[in-house]
Amino acid sequence: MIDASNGRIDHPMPNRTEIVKLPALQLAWRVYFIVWGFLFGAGACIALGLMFGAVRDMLMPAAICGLVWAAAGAYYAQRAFNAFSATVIEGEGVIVKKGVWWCTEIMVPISRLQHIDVNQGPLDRRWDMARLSLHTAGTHDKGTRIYGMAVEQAHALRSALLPRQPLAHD
Amino acid sequence: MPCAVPCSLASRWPMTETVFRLHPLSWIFHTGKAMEKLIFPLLAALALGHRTENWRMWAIFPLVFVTAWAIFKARAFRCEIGDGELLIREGLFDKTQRHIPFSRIQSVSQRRKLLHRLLGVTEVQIDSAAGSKPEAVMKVLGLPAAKVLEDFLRDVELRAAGGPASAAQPSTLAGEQETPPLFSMSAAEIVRYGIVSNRGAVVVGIAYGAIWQHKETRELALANMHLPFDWIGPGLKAQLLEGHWLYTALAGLLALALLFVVLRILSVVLAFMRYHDFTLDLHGERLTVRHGLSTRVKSGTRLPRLQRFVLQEGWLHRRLSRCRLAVDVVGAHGREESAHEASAKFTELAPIATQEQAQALLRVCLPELRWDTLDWRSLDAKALTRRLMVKARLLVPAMLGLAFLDYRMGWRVPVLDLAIVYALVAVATFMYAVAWLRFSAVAESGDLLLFRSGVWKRNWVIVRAQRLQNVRLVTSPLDVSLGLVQLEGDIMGGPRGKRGLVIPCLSREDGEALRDRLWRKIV
Repeated sequence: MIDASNGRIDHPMPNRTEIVKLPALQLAWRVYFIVWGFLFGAGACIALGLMFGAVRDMLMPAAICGLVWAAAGAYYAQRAFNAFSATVIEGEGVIVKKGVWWCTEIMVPISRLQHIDVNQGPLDRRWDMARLSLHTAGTHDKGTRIYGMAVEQAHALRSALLPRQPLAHD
Repeated sequence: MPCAVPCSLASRWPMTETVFRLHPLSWIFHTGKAMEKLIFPLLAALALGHRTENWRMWAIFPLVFVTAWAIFKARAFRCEIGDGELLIREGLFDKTQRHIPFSRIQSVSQRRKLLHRLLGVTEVQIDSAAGSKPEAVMKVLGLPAAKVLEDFLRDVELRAAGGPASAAQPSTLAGEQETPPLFSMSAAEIVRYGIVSNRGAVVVGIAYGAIWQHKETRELALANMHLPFDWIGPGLKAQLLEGHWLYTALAGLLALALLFVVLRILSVVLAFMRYHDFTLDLHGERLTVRHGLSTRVKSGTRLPRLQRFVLQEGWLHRRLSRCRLAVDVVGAHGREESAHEASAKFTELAPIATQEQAQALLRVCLPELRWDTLDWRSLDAKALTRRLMVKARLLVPAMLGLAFLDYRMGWRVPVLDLAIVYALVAVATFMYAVAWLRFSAVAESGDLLLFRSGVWKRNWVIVRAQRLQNVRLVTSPLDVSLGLVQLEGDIMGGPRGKRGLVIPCLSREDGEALRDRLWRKIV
């Protein structure tokens, strides 16, 4: 059930609310993976052509290969969008699920948060979208990202998560 | 040598302000590499009157400049003890001011190389949790100044830890001289450490790299490269052609064994350089470790700052009935010292110890740990399939490739022999996986989570739930098909390129239940 006022979905478990992904995120990821897919596919063919000194002959295969990879990119973007979700556990932390084949479920406790960034790329600004980076003091996972939030919602979540906890040390 | 600090002031704390300045001789250590590279050729040129290498005479100008720069830079450095923080000012033209709150200081360490010891100075390094660089490196302080600074910081920590420490302080300080060290290593133990460690091999590897880096040595190496091939080449060829591959393998093994012995002897020597007079002290909550023969290292941290304990027991350790107790402390991780140089980082409570000693140390650091009553739960039985499939992914193509190569060479190694070897490899892989699964297990004890694993080298990783920065459940496609998950947790200052806690091959229910229990302890 989507609550339009705060952009969250009710969760079957108490205290938990899932953050709504903006549809623009799907579009953004499609653009991203299609462009990179095409560049990779076409680039690989052109590189082969350069190696054997037959770039002209490779133009057609490069275009086909690029399109195939772009299609794969579109498929992957859809899968990645479906797989991604972020859930807030009131007063406890955030769960982020991501990954198509290698799936990861990350739980970040509020008490371990060092700081939170709200980032916006050029496309994000166009779609009023932002991503939230949750930073802990861990050596390995420095930032856990929540993609596709509405800007106001991202700022609201940031201020809801951070001031609760004076920096826990040790 | 008088330190440039009002030491008398500093010792009368509590106070609001004390200024530390670097030792007058600091510039020697600040000129660094430039000096090292230039001074010896310069001296040689002056002494021998070498005319051909004129540029080295010209080098005296930059040398003077570098020295003057170093002197001014060292004079510009100030470390002030302010209200609740250390204030570091440095820089000549671009001035930097850094505030380090006392509560952010994770460890304080000192390193004294031979030159430091001759001059009676020490290099003090202060680490906070932040990233790859130490928060402040004081290069170099006079010994009395370093002592004042260290005592001050320890006092601050004690206050932070146990309320008003100033009253308890005198007794702690008085007790300091009397308490025997928590752990120390005798010469025999250091020899054992050398035998177990492979530091010798690491140093040889570094030396090998260095040979290829310098032009003269590289040319020398290239010119003599044919020698070893000349020695063993003909014999090897004859043996292979006559089909005596068993002898070849045997000779290879013997050569490896000889190399192993030589490297171990080198390791023992290096172990003495590094761990001579190793002492671990505990005063209140503060742990201090000192070691080193030519380079003396002293580093300190507080008990609650220890993020992770790893008890390690390699095959050689077990032969000598010893183990190693390593710890992770937050600090400068990107700045790893080269292997032959003693790092000032706090990395181990006991480089080598008996199980009883290690258990005693663990009891001191983790009083709630009841080792004997731990309830070890093994991993899911499907882990065996997973391990085997992961191994097969690499082994099967490699074996097929070798067989194909053998076929192309006209079956030099007969089919039957090859089949026997492959069968042995398969059995060994299977047995290894079974042994791994049999030993690997998870246990919980209060807030502590323990995971043991390994076959030849056994590891017990001990993490307190409060130290985990996040908890992750990760599944690969193979995991999904087998219904397994991998539980991971990140800590501050964990090992490089790996999370502090990684428990593979848990069944999904177990993994989720364990994750939820951890989560409850964290939040």
